Amino acid sequence: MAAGLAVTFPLLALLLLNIGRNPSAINSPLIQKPAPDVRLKNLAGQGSLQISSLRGRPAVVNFWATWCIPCIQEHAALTRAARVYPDVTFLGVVYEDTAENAAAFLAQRGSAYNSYTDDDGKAAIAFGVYGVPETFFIDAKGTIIEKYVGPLDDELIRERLAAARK
Amino acid sequence: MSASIGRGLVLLSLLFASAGAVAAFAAFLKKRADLTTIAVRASYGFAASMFLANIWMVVGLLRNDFSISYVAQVGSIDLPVWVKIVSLWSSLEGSILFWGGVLAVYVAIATRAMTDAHGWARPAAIGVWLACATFFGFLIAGPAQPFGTVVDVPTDGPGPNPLLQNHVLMAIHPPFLYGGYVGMTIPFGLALAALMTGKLSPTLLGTIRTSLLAPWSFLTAAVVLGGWWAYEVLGWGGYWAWDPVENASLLPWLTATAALHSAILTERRGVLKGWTMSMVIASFLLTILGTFMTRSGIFNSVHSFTQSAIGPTILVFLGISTLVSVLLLGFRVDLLKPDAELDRGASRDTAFLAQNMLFVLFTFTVLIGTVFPLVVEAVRNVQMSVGRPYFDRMTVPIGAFLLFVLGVGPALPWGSSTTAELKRRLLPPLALASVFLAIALGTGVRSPWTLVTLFFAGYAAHVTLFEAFRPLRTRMKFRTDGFVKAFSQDLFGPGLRRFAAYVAHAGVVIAFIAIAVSSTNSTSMEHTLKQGESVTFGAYTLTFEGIENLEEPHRTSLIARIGVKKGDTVLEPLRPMMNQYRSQRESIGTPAVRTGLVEDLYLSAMNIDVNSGTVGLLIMVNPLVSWLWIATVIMTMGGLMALFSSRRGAQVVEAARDLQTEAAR
Amino acid sequence: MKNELRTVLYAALTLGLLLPAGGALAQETQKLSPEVIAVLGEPDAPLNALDADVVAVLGSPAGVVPGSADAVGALVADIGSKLRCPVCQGVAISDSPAGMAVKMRGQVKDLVTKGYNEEQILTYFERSYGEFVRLEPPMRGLNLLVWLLPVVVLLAGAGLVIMKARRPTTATVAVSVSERAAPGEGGSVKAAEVDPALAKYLERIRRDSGTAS
Repeated sequence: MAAGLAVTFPLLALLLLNIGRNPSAINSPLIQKPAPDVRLKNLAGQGSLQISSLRGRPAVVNFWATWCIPCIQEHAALTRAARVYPDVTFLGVVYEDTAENAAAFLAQRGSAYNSYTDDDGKAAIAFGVYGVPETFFIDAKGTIIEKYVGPLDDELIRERLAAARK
Repeated sequence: MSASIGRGLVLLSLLFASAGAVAAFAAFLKKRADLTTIAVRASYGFAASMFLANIWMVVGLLRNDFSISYVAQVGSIDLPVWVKIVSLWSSLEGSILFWGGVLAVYVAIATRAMTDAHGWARPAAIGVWLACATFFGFLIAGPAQPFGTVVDVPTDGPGPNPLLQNHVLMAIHPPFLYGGYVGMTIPFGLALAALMTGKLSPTLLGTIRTSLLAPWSFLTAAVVLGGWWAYEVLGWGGYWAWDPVENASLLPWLTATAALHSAILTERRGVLKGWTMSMVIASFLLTILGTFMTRSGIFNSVHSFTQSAIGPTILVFLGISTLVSVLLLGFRVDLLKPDAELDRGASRDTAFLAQNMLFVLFTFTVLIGTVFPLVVEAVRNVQMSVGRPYFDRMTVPIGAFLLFVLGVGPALPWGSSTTAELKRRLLPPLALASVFLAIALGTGVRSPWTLVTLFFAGYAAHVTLFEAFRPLRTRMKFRTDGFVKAFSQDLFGPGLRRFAAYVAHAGVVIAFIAIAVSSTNSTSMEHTLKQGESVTFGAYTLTFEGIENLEEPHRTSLIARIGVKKGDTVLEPLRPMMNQYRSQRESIGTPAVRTGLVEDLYLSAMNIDVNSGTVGLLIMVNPLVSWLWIATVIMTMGGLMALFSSRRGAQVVEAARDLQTEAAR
Repeated sequence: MKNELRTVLYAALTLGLLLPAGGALAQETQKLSPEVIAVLGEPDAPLNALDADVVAVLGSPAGVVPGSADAVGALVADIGSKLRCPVCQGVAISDSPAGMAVKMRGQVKDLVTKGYNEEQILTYFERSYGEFVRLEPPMRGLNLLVWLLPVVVLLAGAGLVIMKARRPTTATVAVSVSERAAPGEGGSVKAAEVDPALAKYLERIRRDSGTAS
């Protein structure tokens, strides 16, 4: 009987402790690690950007798409923040979407910073992106301070930038 | 109004179940036959009211009665009739109501099957069944109430999840699965009754075996039907991904198979009583664990429902049932004394033991692989995965050893014997084993484990065929009966149960061959075709003929018509599809499968581009997959044959054989 | 007989352990033919052909460049079966049509053709997505439990079966032989105890088969 209890009760306890667990919420292993040095292509098709070139200033890398409703909602907040914090480099990376769609969206809504395409998905893979919107806050030394999953607003951006700009 | 009727019926069933459980346990403890009668009546009362509640829900779905909350959730006016009926189990609350309905049928039949010959096990078992019924009744009346009253009755509903309307298997797989899962409650009650009374009489054991065979047969079919569904619908060309919920359905099947086999030893000589009861109890507990895993939302699975209060409630029930079972086993199992000793050495008893141990190992491995990510998360706060590569690597050897025992076991004699006798029994099947191995090598099989499996399969095939028809040949030899007479009077008469076992084994051997070969000898290729272009793969030439469109209320489909030629013969074109559902962003593909006895031609459209007129195809040739479905039919048939065989006849035959063996010594 | 049984069991266990080891070994060795080198160049290709991020994480390729398109395809399928599609429900990237899965397969193909070996490629994805992305738990640390516990259970079970199957000592044999019911007598007593309705059938059988007492 002791054996039976020893086998069954740890299992039951384990299951009990996990009630409420969200199996899709995966922690990012990139926190406090250097931002992946991927190469991004400019939306207009001319030129490219290497992530390592962002060093020296804090940076915000926002993965977005035109089919993603929360991305559209946070666009205004991000545009505002880019203007309020000129010492921070903001950039957008288009995820699972075409350059034409992205360009048309930005032309219509306006933008305060560049967006880049990632056709082969290497940037999304390197940053460990699961979906959009996901935003990475990087400090001046090129270390990822935080990954935020979900739409941002002014308050959230302000809080995170406070940590990244330290 | 109609919602209230439904709620009333559910409450009534809950009342009958709880009152009946109390009466039954009181009857058992106080040894009062009058209370037993009350419990029996309450049992039928529960069954009738719960069954009616299910009928009432189906009526509501068919009548589009959106005043009932569940109908408002999954019903829709435009659905075909079969989809409306099937919606009963398509969503969470309805599925628990359906569980109650299946339980109602099982409890009614089982109560009827209990007689005075069972003694005080009768109220004990009924008490356990009604206690389980009380829990499910409480779930349905409380957290999972499908008969809620809708305040603003809508004019139409959203219909069930469109992904579930894809395939006719939605109508078949869940009922079989529930027939298997829910049915384990009955032998569970009987096993607890054996522990409570401290006696395992042959009558009770016979009832346990019979009540185990029905859910076993259903579960066998259900597990493989799930695989068939994955194969035909999901498009990755496989049928088993070791998804946590799939594993959950496999675990009770493994322990139930172990129980069925150790019960044979228990029936013959009264050994392994406690072990068999443990396996029966484990099978039930694993079904509750399985239903918790499906509905709790804490596992990453294709099948998961969303999280709700139902998960913790089921966990509490699992905890209580486990505690009661462990306590009963701990304190009472010693009362089930063995009537004899296990045979030693290379005997059939040892083979049964080895088989049971292997099934326990299999169960443990699948269980630990499934829950290990939770353990690591609790200890290291890191998420990790235990997926298909792990399970395949661990279970393939276990499966091969099981097949080995399936071959060698029935060839071994009961009791002890001489080395010469053993050689006479164990060596001849090596011939067919070698033939299978040679054929495998000849047809290009190179994977080591597949070769081992096919060798063992040849051995097992020989033994199974010879043993299945041995009584027939003996009878024809000694009584000069014709084949037909011998067959109908022996194999389909008193020898049916034994024959059924070998039929089931034959199915298992075929399944092993099909799984081994299809897993390691599939070939595939990815290719993009422009309209009019062809590509050759193996013996097939595939031509992309054109794109067709299909508009349905819930989805738009692009269909790529692919012409198929095998050698010079023109075959039916295949139509893999890309379906864009209104509610989903990414389109979901439906593969097109040309099923054949030797191999399946499997086409999956990765993307269909109307603008450029191209289709990206995944082309697979999967050998012997059909034989897995055929094998499952054979296995299930074996189970059902055993279920309907005459128990009395089987006992007579076994006793006679025992006497003959002993007389011959 | 006991010795023979033991020998067979040991042989089976050894076979069972050797076969997967052999299979694993067979996968490791890949040959690079002279023709291939002429076409694709030596395995240590110039670094500027590799992505900066990949080099930063993995260094230079430690495997061999595959010799043919089929070899590339086989490697991509194999490694792909060990990587979890992060946006799907538990399937491998080689089995999923999802956009991210397709892109990940592309990345795997890129790394394979550049000569990175399996462990490097898995490490690259693990850097971004964590251990979660590996479908086969790497054998280190706590993960050893999930690999070893089934082996422990196997050995325990095998031990139990062998113990039960062992021939008992002569003393116990003598006792159990005398306890065994003699044919035709104890047999019927036992069976009749067990189920009274059987008694008359057993009587009849014994009469028919000539073992009546």
